[in-house]
Amino acid sequence: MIVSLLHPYKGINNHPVLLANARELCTDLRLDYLFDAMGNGDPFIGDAARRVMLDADPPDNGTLRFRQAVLQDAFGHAAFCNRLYEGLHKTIMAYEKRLAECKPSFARFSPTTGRVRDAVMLCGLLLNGAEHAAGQICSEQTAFGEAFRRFTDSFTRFYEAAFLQEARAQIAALTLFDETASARYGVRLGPGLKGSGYRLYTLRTRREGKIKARGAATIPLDSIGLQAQAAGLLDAGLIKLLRVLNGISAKVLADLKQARFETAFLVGCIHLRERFQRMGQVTCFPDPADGAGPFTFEDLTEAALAVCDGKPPTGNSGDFYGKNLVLITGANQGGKSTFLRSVGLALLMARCGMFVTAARFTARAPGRLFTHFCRDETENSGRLDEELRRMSAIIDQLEPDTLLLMNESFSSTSERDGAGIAREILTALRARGVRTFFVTHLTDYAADLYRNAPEDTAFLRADRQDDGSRRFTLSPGAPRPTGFGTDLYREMFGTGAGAFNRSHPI
Amino acid sequence: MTESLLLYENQPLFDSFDMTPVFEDFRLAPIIDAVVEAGGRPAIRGFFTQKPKRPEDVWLRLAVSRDLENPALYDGLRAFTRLYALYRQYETLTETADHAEARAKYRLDALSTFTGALQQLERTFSDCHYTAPALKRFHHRLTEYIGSESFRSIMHDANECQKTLLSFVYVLDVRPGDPLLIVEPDNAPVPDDWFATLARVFARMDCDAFRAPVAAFADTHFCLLENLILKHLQKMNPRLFAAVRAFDGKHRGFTPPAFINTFEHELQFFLSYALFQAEWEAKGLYFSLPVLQEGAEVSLADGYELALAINTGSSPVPNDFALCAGETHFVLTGPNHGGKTTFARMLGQCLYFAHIGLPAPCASLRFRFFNGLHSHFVMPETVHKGRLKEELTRLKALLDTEPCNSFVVLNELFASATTRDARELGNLLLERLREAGCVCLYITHIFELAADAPGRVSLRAVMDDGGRSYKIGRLPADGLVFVNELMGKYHLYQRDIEERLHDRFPAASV
Repeated sequence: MIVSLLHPYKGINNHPVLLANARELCTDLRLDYLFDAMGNGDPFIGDAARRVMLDADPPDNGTLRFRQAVLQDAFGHAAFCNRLYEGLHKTIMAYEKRLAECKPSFARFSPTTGRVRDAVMLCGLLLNGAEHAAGQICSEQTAFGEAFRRFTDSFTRFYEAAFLQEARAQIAALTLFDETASARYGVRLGPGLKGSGYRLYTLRTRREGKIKARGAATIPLDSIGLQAQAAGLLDAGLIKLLRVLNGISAKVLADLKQARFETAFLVGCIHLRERFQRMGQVTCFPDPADGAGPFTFEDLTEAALAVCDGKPPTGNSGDFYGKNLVLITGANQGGKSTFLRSVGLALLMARCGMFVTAARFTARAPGRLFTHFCRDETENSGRLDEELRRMSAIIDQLEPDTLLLMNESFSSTSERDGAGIAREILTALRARGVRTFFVTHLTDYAADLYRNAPEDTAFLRADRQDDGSRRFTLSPGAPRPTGFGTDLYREMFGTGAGAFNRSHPI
Repeated sequence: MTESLLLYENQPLFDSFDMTPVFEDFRLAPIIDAVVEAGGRPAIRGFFTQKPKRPEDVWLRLAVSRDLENPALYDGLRAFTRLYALYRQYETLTETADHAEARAKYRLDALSTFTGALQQLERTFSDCHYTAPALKRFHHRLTEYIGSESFRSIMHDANECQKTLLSFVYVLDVRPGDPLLIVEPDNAPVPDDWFATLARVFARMDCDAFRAPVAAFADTHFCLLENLILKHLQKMNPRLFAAVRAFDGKHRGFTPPAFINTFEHELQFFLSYALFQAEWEAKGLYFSLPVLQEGAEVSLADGYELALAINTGSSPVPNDFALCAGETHFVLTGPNHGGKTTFARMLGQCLYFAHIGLPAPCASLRFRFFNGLHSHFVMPETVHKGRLKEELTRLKALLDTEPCNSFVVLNELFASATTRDARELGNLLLERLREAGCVCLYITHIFELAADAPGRVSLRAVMDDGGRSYKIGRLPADGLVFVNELMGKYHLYQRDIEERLHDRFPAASV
């Protein structure tokens, strides 16, 4: 049975290796808001979303399109997806609860027949769960789309009624095991005349009449030692039965867990989309462009901010076809960081097959995404060292399909040094074609670069209105030598800002 | 053991050089421990401390090592050693098993395993391509032995007896609470395995447990119940047991020919190392079979310190080394922690493994034969007041062995002497070693030594942009002190980054 909701041919790893920089991404892009919104109160769903979104091994474009089709279908069967997830979750929780009850620490010393009974009960519980899920799938009225049907067909074919009926009959017979169970083995003489090749002829669930062939001998079990050894002989068969039952349970459990994991992701997306719909935030499925060149979007907003504020933030549009470096300068509080995060979030969401918060979005999702954000937590003395160490670590991991988001990097040193460092690093990154978004106050560096007008670089500027208010949108434009920090000063402290020379870099 | 099949050419005299003194300096002990542990045969440890004194012996071993690179041959030999170990186990049980009947049966098991193992070995040699003369000679003797009347008679008897035994099936019926266990001969047709129905119904689950055997009475000893069962079986089928006793009586005096035991024992030397090698190759390390050549040259590519690699689980910075004709001494200088000692160990290890005929931790190695490998490292714990004297005493002992045509590694000698004295002592010592025809790697902070005499090569730990690269190169000694600029430290200059990204972004250009 293959749970193929997130991949056309296979179940995806439900405990994937996460991106090495998953923690930084969560902090810098405020992903936790998104995961919470997807979970909508269920931590398992939020966690499933985290595992899918931060998977170190991203799906290819074919898989992305498949996922988008499944999600589209899931939106049409939202109630069914919720029910299916709830049912699977309930079965697995019940299984885990019963398992914990059956597993006292002295289990090794409890009689094997008792352990067989427990294993039979657990196996039955899981098979019932699978049957329930199969029933839910069969009773759904609306037809599923082709992508979704791969999973439902596979599930109902594997857990078909005929099999479940036979399985239940077998399991029911095994529930009859009690302390009088007995066994009959066929044995050959192995090395050193020890018995070998034990083959279980009969395993009787309870006391039955004796059948004794001609020429048989009997051994009276007249001591505790002999009785224990005979019990050990019986147990050998029961232990194999126990392993068989555990093996079956493990398989069913794995199927149910995989189905729960993948449906949890779908349900998370359903929750998030409903939330965006309620607040009037537009969403669209991104076009996972095949070449590396295209990178355009319309009205892209920052998803986590939308979740936080409960209303759609201001959107940005842009076309960065063939640009390796997007340099963003401009006013403080002008929406530069928000823009950077909106790009990062949208690409992470696009990377796992989700919709994005934009009217239109075309880009090849990056295999990996790195953030190099200015951090405040480290001591000032070693900050540049720490920043450069992080930069160096990122460079070690860059691949052709990575995206680098830099926010106020190298601001822990003088502007002159910072510009020097930025020049060295970004020239090299551009030469190698590493796609980079760089929000910076290193205005001299930005202005220099603008003068040279390189083909592969786009310049965006966060502007302020003439009255000092911000629109939070970015527009193409030459870097200005000030971040209008004085506006902020005036906003906070009232008058006196006139003392600052606006053309002076802050 | 009077002869050697795989390790020494000159029979019956084999001559070797004790390598224990360099084990500590080259950190060979932990490596050899790991090798021996991989093979699970502690008795072969001695093979690793002895370096052959003649190049013919190294040829002999390298040829075997090369043949073992053929997976079919390797697998066949491994299968043989596993069967042979089982044979040994049964052989021991013919002495120690609980009662006479069982001991007799173990004799039968031992001999049928033994004959099976040898046949399997013969098939391996016949089916696989190999060239090592030592293996060819052994194969010839093996074929002769397998064709002998005595071997064929044992094989025939063992097979017949086992066949009869395997056709006998008995039934055990066990019911808890019932005072009886029933033993009966099984004359009826063999019924289906009870698990068959379950296996059919749950076939789609593909559950491994169905295929596992029922494990009853797994201990080699007989418990009371088994003894009683056996007694009944003897009564039921006395002819069967008589056949086993007869086999035991006839073949009790059998011992395998000595050359088989020697082969199996010496083979462990190669197989243990191959297991160790495979284990670490799977973790990303690499090994290469050295090539022994005539002449004076040595050339080593991408060698690494194996003990360090095992310790850290990753391959340290690799280094190259070349010894050209006319060169005798290598004076290695550079900053502390620049990789000098690691380089010395790496070189020592590679030469050591080459000389005992095993793959070395490097990408490639062509080497010439050295009579001996010597070393003198400063051990922190030996530092005490009379350090210079202690050093000279150890050096005298080394020189007294008259190390002609040896490879000598001297690490940070005379650190306690004044620079002037150390330089003079160093020159004296190097001259003495040159006269003895030795090649020497001399690690020192006195860089003037590199230029004091002809035939000396200066090696230096390479610095790049203020950072240590742990690379050693042929560079003039200069007491360069490196600057610790952050950009250099993290390799963030434009050309550094471009270089770092070069392999991953091959197509890009400015």
